[in-house]
Amino acid sequence: METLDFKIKDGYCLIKYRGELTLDVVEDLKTEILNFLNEHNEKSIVFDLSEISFMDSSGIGFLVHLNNKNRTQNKKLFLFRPSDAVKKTLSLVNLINFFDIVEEEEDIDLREIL
Amino acid sequence: MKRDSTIKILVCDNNPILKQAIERVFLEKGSVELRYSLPPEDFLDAYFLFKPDIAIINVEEDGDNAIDALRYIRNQANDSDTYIIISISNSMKNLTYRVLNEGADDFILKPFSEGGEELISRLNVAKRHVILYKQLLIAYNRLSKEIDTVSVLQQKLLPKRQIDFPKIAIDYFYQPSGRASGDYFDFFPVNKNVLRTVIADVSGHGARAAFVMAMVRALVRASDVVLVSLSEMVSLINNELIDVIGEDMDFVTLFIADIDIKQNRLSYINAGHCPGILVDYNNFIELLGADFSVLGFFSQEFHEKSISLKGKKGLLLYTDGYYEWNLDRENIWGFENFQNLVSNVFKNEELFYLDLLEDYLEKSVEIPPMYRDDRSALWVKFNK
Repeated sequence: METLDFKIKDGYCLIKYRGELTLDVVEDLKTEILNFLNEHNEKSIVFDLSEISFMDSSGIGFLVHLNNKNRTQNKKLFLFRPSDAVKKTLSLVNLINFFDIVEEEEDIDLREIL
Repeated sequence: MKRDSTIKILVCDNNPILKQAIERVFLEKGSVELRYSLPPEDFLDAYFLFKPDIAIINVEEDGDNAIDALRYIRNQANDSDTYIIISISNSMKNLTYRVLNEGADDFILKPFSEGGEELISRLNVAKRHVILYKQLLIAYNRLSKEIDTVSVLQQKLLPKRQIDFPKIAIDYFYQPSGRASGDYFDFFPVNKNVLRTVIADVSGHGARAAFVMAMVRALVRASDVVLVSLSEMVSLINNELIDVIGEDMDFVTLFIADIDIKQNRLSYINAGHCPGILVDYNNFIELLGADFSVLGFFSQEFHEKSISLKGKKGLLLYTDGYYEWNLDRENIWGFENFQNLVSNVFKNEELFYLDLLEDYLEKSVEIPPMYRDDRSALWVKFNK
């Protein structure tokens, strides 16, 4: 079953979504996540994708949109421990290097973007 | 779904105040058909014959008659559209929650007051609900027809099967998952020696994806008139998409190739699309993966790659719908399995064609694949 969790950690917003990241859910996810981010001023957003079982092209579009949206607001998005399904899909479309991917919490760079 | 604009009411209650109220609310104006079903045991037969928009059922004794009817309508007949009002004696008020939970939309308590003011208000609610539902249905049908039109137009944008080009034969397969798709492919000569082939996938579905697909097609087809290089063509598409899509979530993956029969070379650009599969005469496959990212998000500098076609049998292009389907509730079949399957088809079969690939896909798993996305494929065969 899909779940979406938000946490405010020391200096960053942690978002975790479990389930399939597909056309069926991205519009609702977009609204919920952007509403949450609008209410919080943390400059780093960490999106935990470790429990994404499948991601389709709409999921890819959603991640890029989220990344671009944050960048324009001077915020930084990190993809945290993306599952193999996410990594494979991002590799196939040659977008894996487009994102900041982190495997450990200490690798999250909290320095503000200039 | 009921399409008629007449409001059909089926009443299983012979209370005279209820009769008067119904006539006052529904018969004054508008198109109404009113039927009474008495005795109650005939109600379900009358319901099936009449197909009402509003049903009013009187609760008798322990309420089992009404509950059975509700269950039948909502669960067996799978009808969630009919607006059902239960008329119930005040002494049996404790049953109201039960009938609402079983699928009734409202209840009216008896005895009705003289003049039936509350009764009239509740019938007016039912009337408003049904009128709104019918308007919604008309709007839905109109939109549905629009999408069908988009789908028909879109299919016209796909190429004809036959192409008269020396040394090249093309087979294609197209199966949209919905009524308007984001898949697109095309092939046409850009001069007497070069055939341009393209396959693309717009993220998402529906009218929006179809619109973007038509835009990409128009841009690619422009090179039919004015020859532009692959890199110029993909740059143009990317810039136009950035302009149109802007900050939205849509994007396009695209594989475009020029096959030069004189030079015997293949030039291509893969922008975020599934790897093209180049097959040689020993049936070894080479993957032509994405050197560039998807189109529509950010600027990129595109460069085409060039490969000799010496000893090559053909090029298979396809969309991700071929391998993004569920093996079971948790597992996706995936690209590796697709690649292995394609490899096996080439090793086992003398002649490759896309219907044969369909046969292999059908046999690859115990239950036929449940595809979740559009599927398109192009098999470009280079004749010796």
